[in-house]
Amino acid sequence: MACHNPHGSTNPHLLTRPQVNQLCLECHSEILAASIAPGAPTFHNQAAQYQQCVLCHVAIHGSNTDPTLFKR
Amino acid sequence: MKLKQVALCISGLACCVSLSAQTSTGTQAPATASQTAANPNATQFPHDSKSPPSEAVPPQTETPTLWKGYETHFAIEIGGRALSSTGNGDVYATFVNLQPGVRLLDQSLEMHSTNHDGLLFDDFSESSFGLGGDPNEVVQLRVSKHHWYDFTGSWRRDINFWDYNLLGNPLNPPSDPQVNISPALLDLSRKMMDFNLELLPDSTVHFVVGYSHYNNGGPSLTTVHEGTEAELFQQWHDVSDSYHFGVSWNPVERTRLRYDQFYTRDRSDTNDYLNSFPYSLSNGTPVNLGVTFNSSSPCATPFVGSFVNPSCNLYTGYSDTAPYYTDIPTEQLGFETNYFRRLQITGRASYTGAETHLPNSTETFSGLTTRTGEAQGVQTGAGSVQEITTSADAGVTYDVTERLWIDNQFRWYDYRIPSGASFLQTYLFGRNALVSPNTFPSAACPPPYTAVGCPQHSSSSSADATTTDYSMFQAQNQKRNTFEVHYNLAANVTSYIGYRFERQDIVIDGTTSALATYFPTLPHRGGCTAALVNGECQSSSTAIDAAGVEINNHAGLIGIAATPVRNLRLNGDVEFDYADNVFTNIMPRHMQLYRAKAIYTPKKWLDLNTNVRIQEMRNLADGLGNLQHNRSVSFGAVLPFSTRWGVDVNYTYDNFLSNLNICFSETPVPAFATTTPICPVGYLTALSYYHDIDNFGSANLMVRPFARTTLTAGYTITSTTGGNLLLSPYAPLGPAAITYHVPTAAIAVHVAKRVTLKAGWNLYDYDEKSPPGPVAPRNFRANLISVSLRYVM
Repeated sequence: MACHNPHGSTNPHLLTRPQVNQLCLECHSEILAASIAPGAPTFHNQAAQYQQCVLCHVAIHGSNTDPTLFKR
Repeated sequence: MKLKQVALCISGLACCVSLSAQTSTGTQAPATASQTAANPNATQFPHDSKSPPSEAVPPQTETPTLWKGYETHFAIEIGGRALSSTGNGDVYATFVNLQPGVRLLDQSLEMHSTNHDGLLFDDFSESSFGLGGDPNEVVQLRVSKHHWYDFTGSWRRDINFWDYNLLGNPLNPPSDPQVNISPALLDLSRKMMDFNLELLPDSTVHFVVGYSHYNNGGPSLTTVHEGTEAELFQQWHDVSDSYHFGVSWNPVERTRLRYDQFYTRDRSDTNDYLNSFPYSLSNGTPVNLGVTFNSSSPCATPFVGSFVNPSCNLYTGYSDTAPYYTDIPTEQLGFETNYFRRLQITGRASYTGAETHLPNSTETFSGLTTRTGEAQGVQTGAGSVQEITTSADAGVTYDVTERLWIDNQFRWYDYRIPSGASFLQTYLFGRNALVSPNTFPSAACPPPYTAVGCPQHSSSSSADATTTDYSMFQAQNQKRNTFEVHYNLAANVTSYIGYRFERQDIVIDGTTSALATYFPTLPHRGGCTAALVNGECQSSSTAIDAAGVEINNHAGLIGIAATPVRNLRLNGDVEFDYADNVFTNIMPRHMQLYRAKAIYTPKKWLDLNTNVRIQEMRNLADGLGNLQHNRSVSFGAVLPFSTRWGVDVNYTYDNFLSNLNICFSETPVPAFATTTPICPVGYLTALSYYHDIDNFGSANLMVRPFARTTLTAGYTITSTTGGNLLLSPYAPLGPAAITYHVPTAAIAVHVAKRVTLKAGWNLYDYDEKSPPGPVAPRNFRANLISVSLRYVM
């Protein structure tokens, strides 16, 4: 429910934001002294042509083993 | 939007059922009331928004037939659909997906023994809709014998097609090959069965047994990133079986104890692999160059003549399998009583000890990743996860006087998830896809391990072999108590005031241990500084990631309900929330919620309702700049002037805003970004904003100009505007602004006794107001004609 809004979203996949990376970074930004969720690393260049968080970090609904939510 | 529309439909008389033609009222429109009731899961997918044409007009009612002591009703509706569409057919299938063909649109059989003297059953009902190819097919069965048993069963199938070409699309420059479907396309079929049997439902002790089965499968696309991004074929296969046994006991009057045992076993065998090799190397090896094309991807010169450049990023093979299964047993104990006058008590406690096992995971890659020189890779491993969940609820309501009562609800929720996994990664490295990568140790690579027969590493090459052990733990404990005092201020005015406290403790703790072995050449790469043994360098590392947060949330509650004049009912409530901490940046620390509702029925033929909901949220601490609101207003009017004609009108306005500072990296630096002290060194700061304004309106008209004829017409429109931060220079404006028109019309004529001829027309017209970007437009327009014959008995 934090990422998808089945009762009000007009975005693809019922996401709460139309751009996936925006959704990821609104939690995973290393704002100093703020929340404990880890920030996205600096090598994730947002200008890259093909860079959407969920293309690699696919297991956002619960990886079986991988702490970085890669495919496993 | 979906919830609002369902709510309006429900409040709007039986408008959704009796007045509307096939109603699809937005890009993700609601399931009809009957579909929602039949299939609670149906609302999870956008295309579940269809109403079978059988609901386009009111059913023809007939006097029940008596058959062997049963009052019997039978109805069947057979028909078909014709479709004419232009534009993006995949988006039509994503949103609507009603396709042409013959359908058993609706059928039902009901039998009722008025004296409860049926031999095997007193009541029997069976119904279905959508059979023959609709995206939602449902069959329901209910059989009961008074005092003895009550059996319900259902079978459902949903087709979940999804292709929105912006998501996951590399958006290649116009000069390069285009990707016109989403690399995350889905075409899944979900089949579900539920059976529930209640024995001795009216006795002091009664039992419940149940079984549910879920099977989700079908093809989809996904991607993998190595040297470039390749599109994979992904075959889904998820199966779940659930069993339930429960016993309920009424030891004394107005008191019930209940025990339930649940067991669920989930199995997933979804795998993905590369199945398209449109190019080849000069030696004939089939090659996939991925989906991203630009001046540097997959490389500056992908082709040499008609063959693929062997020094380019490429794939010659990829596969990934990771089957796992999960056992989820749950015990639950509950009770409720109002044995003592003025005192109602409820309680429930449950315990779940779930385990997931990943016995064998295997990922293989072959090709070339030019940055690291990786030519072959294999990763194998196994893991297991536990999830121990306990929860409990307790509620007490005490009527102090006729006008005053107090209510207290307490909830406890706790879970712990320990897990562990081990993986082994091995790689071979090379420089050219036409040359087999060298192995080590090998006679071709003698000391000092610099010969051309040694593995060809670069300084960016990963370890040749890495064993990684993960040990992770996360836990959350949540306690919430809500206390309310309710008081009847007057005969027609009730009010309450309350306080809610919630505490959350969240813990994350993970340890990652790795042992990496670096073969020559360049064994001292990757930060490995150990002395070489037989030319190899080994390094071990341990990383600990631990964090915890405590959040205390206080909320004040106040509400009032009044009936100031006859046929007017007013409700209003306000909630003020404050949290002393947050878990993620997007979470607010301050929240105010205002809700008001009015229902006014001045005449039998006029029913008015309006709702206002205003939610304001913020967290301005630590430079977050978190400011959000979600404001909506709706209005509805139902005018059932007579049995011969009626009208209903609905309108909803939604305004959603979210502002939040984020930290990110982007090169070159975009104009909207700055460097500020709220982000760590090396990061940029920008305001991540998202503003969405939705307008939704609908109107429906029903007329019976003749005794045998019913006409219906309707129109729904969804119009959205807004905008959001576009981080990527490749991102188009996207779907922030759309219009979606759905006019409908239907006619039903009772052509003979028990027989009704029905016809309906729906137009689905979806338009995005902004340019689609360098991909195919997503707009579509579809005319759907339905014709059916209904027979009732």
